[in-house]
Amino acid sequence: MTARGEGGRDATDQAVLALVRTSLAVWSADARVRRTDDGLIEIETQRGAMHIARAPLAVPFRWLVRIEGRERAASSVAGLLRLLRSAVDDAWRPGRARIAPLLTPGDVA
Amino acid sequence: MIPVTVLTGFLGSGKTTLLAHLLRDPALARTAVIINEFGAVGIDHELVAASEESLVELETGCLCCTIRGDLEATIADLVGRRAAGTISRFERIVIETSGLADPAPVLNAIMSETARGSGVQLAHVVTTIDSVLGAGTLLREAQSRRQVAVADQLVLTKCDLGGGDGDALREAVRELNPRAPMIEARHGVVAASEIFRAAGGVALELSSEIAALVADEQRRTGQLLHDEEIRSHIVRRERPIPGVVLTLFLQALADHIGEGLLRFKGFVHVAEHGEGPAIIHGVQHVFHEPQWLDRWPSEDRSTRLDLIGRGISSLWVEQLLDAIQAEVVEVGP
Repeated sequence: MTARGEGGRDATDQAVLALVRTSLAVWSADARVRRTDDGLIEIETQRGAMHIARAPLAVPFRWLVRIEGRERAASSVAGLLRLLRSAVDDAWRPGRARIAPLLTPGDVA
Repeated sequence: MIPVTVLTGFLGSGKTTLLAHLLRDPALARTAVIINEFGAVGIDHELVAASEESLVELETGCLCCTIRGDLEATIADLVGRRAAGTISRFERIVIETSGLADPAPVLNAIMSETARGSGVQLAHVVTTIDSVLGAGTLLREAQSRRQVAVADQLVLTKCDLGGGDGDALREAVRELNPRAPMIEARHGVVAASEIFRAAGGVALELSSEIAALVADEQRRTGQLLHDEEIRSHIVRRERPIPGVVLTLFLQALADHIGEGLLRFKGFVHVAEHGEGPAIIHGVQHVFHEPQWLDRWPSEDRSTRLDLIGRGISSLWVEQLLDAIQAEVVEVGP
């Protein structure tokens, strides 16, 4: 791991923890969020606990989320949020719209 | 690009009167007009003296729902006939919506035409508000609040009549839209230069508007977690944003706040593109292909995004962008 990688990892972990906390509050989910000693994000809800972990480097995902004993994977923070919201907000349905990757004029040329 | 102005405002708020006066100004002689009326018999087009060939009336439905496709076809037809030389070479298009129209789908239709390469571009949204009855209308009518919230230019009409609580109205309008310039019309008259702000074109209009918006946002304090009112939220980043961050950010916005997002617009300094900014427009779940400017319209090279909507947490939006950016930076190029 490079120095940038270590610092970047810490920055990502802090940013994701803050985002998860705020997201659950915004979605009116009754949940408590904390970081465990082994680096997981633990979310306690009335339905049970959820855990967010980083995926191993060997797999093509970034995040693993354990919900009700089942492990699900997300390839980005945006995907992680979709998994969490699906788990805590019964009324929410993920939209079918997908944003296409950005192409700059240089890409098109 | 041909600039398109959307003239909206609730029923009876004075849109047609304002437009009729504006079109008498020689500066607006080269204007194509599209008027939408909700009702079986349209009369508004009779009140507007534009050249017959470049005035189109869309009736028997509301622009935002039943005849949106007609609007897109009409824009394309006007532009096509202009290019073919079968109608006069108009320099702008003004669309007067019906008083019941939700502005969001109308803006979407214009942006769809931009994406299709029709050569038109949304310039700005002008919203009329009845100074006598407007306060009550804003309280009662959700559509009226949406019309005010998305405006780039607000026009208080019927100021010559007196009556009404002007201070209360202004306060209510400013709650919904704290940054759009507000001018008064008396007997339906406002100088065309005040509405169309001719200098600078579309990009500079957007630039000055967002600059004002940023300044206003900076004056506000505190971040609301829950906010069921329609508000404007500014996101600003000094460092360029990688394209993949922007893509993931827009995806998450569409996923989680799309329904409440009345309008999304702004400049993005994309890291992979060292020249001008990308202009992003979106309405609800739909984000349109960015328009790339050859150069920045001012010295300010920062990313400035304006989210207008209901139930949006500024804190969540900021943290979302921070987390996505952190993840992408960690992974590296």
